[in-house]
Amino acid sequence: MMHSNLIDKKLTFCVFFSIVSSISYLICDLYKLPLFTYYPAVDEFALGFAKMTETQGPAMYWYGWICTASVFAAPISLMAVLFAFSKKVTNLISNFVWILIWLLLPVFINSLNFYWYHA
Amino acid sequence: MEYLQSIVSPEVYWSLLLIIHGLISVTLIGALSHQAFSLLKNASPKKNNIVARYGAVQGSIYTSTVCILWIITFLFGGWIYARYRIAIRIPMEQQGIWLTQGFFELKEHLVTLGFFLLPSYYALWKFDPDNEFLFAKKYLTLTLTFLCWYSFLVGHIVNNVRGFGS
Repeated sequence: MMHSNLIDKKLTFCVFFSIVSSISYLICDLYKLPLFTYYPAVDEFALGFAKMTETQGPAMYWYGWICTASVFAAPISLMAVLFAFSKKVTNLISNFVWILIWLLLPVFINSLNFYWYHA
Repeated sequence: MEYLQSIVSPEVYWSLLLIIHGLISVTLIGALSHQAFSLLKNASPKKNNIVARYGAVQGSIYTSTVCILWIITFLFGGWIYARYRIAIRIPMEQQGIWLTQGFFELKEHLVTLGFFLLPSYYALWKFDPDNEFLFAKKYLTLTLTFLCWYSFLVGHIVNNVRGFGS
């Protein structure tokens, strides 16, 4: 029984982490919320969102978005475990976690409009 | 790595990393496709055709391998990505190759979503011996397989358009 509960908790954490981190990543991308900015030309970092500069070259936000999403998702997933949803709710969410990608995909495609219409 | 950088040119160094990234992604595609196929086909090793035998594997044995390979491929991709931003993307922008870049940007998002799905994928395969979540396992694996194939093909196309050293 205890073993089963532990497995349920692990499953709940993993499923919630996937959901929250994916949605957070989308929000970070849309609203420019990286934890840090990386300048690959000079190998420098800046905290939060920083623009490209003439001396530092192009700025990269992807690493920062992943970190923001992970940092945000971890405590929320822990809270989901502590909150202990009923087994039915957890099972339902677990069964449909894969749909999330297909729901987010059109939003990501739309966020890249610049590339589709520039071509 | 610093030693390697000191004996080969930057183009060769980054090309080597890209080749390693590509080779690991091939093994990942193989593992995921095999697992996905085992879920799709009602296959049997007793049937005397290659398709049935290809799918007649125990899907769960691929789970840990897929997770490890995805993480390694992801880390290699993230490492190369910084160099791509300087040496590949800027010249592509100057040449106006926008559509290819768009597909590559989408790949960046999709592999990240795949990375975030790995905990669910692992948990569903590992913590469900009674196949209570067979439906979820099937479609999650198929989704990851799609993401992997898309990323592999787009990465290959970008390398064809402008590889390191071109």
